[in-house]
Amino acid sequence: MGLEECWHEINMCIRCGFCREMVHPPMETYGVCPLFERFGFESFTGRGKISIAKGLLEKKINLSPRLAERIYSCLLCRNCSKHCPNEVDVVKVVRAMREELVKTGHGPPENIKKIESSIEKERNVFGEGKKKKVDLASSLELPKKSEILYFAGCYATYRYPETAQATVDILRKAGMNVSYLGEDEWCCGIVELQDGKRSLARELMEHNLSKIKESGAKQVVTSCAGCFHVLKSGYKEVLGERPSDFEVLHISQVIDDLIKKGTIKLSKPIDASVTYHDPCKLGRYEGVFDEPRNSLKSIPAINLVEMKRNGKNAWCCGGGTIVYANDFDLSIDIANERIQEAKKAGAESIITACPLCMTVLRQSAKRTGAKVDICDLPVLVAKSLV
Amino acid sequence: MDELKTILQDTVGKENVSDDDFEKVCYSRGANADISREPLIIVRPRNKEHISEIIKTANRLKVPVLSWGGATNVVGAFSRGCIVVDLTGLDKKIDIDEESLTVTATANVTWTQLLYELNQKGWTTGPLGHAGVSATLGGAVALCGNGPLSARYGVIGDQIIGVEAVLPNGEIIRTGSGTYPNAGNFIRYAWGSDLTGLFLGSHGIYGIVTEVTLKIDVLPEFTQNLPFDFTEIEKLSRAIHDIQKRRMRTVEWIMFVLMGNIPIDEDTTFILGITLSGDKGEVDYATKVVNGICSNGGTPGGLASMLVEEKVTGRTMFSGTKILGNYLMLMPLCSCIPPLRMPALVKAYGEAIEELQLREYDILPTFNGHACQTTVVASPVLYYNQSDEKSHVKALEAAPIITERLAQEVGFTPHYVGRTKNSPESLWKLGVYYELLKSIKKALDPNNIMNPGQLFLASY
Repeated sequence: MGLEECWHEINMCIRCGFCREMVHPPMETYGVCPLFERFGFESFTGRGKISIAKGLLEKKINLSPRLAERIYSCLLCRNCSKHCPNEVDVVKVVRAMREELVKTGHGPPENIKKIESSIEKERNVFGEGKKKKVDLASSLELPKKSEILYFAGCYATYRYPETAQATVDILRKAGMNVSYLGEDEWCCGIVELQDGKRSLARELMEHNLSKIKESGAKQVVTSCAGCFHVLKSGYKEVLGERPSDFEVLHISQVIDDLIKKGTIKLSKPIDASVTYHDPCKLGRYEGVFDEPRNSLKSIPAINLVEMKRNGKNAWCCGGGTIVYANDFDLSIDIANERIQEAKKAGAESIITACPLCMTVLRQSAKRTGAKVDICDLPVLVAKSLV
Repeated sequence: MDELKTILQDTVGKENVSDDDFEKVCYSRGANADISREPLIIVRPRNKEHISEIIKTANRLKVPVLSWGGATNVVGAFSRGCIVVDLTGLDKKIDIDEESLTVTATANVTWTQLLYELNQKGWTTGPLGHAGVSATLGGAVALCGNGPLSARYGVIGDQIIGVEAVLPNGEIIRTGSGTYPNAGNFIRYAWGSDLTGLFLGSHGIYGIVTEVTLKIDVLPEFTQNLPFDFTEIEKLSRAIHDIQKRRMRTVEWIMFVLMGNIPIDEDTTFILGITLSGDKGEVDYATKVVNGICSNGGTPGGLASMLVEEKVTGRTMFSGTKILGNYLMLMPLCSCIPPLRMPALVKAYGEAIEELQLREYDILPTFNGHACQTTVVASPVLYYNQSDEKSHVKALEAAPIITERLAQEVGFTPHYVGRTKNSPESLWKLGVYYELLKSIKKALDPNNIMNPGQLFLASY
């Protein structure tokens, strides 16, 4: 996708400034963009990004390292688009600008290149060998083929096996025969989709798609918000079409559905005040807001409290897919703001449904010494399963 | 340029100065149909002392200065090649003085933020900025804002107590009673001429406003929205006039929108939305009065009922920037007129549209407005297609022609003035008034550094 394809988005922006400040009269008002709130210049806002894109197309400005720095600082949290009266797709425009930066050698940033190199070599963001994938399949006794495929993603495979275990436990509790691609599961392509290296994203997606088809899956379930977005919408964006022979579900949707149907029951009480942090890619990107909350509310004794900014208005954790790897300090600073908001809401624990959100929030709590537990949704739900 | 950049960086810190080409593009235009005018450099001061230093430097180096707030103006207010002083970085302050019944806030506070803080303590103020959620108090003063709630509060000039501003020589002034040591901000008229008025509608040409003091009001307990459809503009205008004649403080918002064709034909409808607020008894009484007045030609509900369905009231209607896909609004003028003059205005506007053949250029003409205390701000609006440069150019060409025609045939006071609003000719015809404005500007700003070219005061 080239920047030329973004004229519609550019022309839809009327520079009204709704991407700078949320308004909910008579409720409190607050900022829309974590970066704009910190650094203040217009180029951080949604309308700023649109102006830059227009400037590039009209050749008023040049691609440069400084511009690359600015464009790669965007969290792509989609908060600006969600507050835009014309729903201008700023994410699409920023992705297109990043593609241009990649084409001209100005992007991605060095730290992201390292991740891409890991993906090119080992097909996962951590650059670690296939062994963990094989081990996961073996320890959870997961076949490669069945109608319900678990797409674990890099994080659950390499960093959070407890999330994989919990997800599989929940699905099995409902009587599902779960499979896993093992060493054939490659990175979903979210990094490349967001950083502008579309050719690598395509390669990864094409591979995964063919393996998913081989598995005979009718449903692909993932516990990662990033993988979910790519499987659900990224394929269509990059490959032109999303295959219709399987359905893509996030584990939070599956849990909610199973509870409603009475297939599983959460019986073990968890006496805690928790809040739910909406991952951008699950919430604003894919519209999954209620299901995780319904799942949490089904846990006996749990007290679900909401942060001031929640659902559509949720503040990004600061991860921004690649921003965490590119600017660690910025990410965890933004995450700290989210942690403080959770504590203000009276939460002892933050539950999320994205391993990157979990990572960034945990790193931030570690640095600041914040006493808050950060937990993945399926892990908590599995604890309540009897 | 290097010297300027170094001085600005020394003043506010490197992280608050940018001359990146991409940043300049972002600061080249507001929410209007004007062409882009790129600045020289952008600086984000934290306080008025920073602003003072910036202006002194600009004066010494003879570089123009433009203050920047929400940048949601719909009139075209920017100058090319200037130092943009982005006020959004000022340390924000909102001081509610319940004893003096005023609120003093920094210029970068938005209407939304101000109302939230006031509402928390049972207060409110008005009118609200008409230019979107990011519209700031500083912007409202610079353009003498009006909009939602203007039926009760008039324009901002009717509600203001005073301002603090940095003058073109870098000195800091406070107007109103606040100018007296230890007096505080509670009354606009202090000593001699009303210097607050100098800054109202000034587009920042006499200095940069850093603080604004407004009167506050008790937050109403009860709100009632009354929608009516009118098919005859004469009866709509009469209804507005008759409501205004009663001078009911309960009426906080009167807005009207033309739905359908212009020039007016049998398919044209005018929707009228009226918001009443106060205690229950006051609102019930006003409801009866308004219903009685609007029964002459008005039908309750109809198209106008969407105002109720969408809960659009003076307190929730924050968007002056009308949303119509990729069509951008260009208002040739905001004509301030007595309501009974509206039929003539709309007739002349319709004729101008036909003669200019605007529809052939994918320009959608419409008409809307709202009432202030004794007038209406009636706005012929052209929506041009942002995807089509010819549409944009034609709209820009048509605007002054429409303005001139309406000025000659109907007569109005332009409420907002800007590069895309009103023609220079209509101002030059002001004669002595215009010359006096120019003289004041020259006396205060001999180097003409403060947003030069605005109000058509390009040179002296």
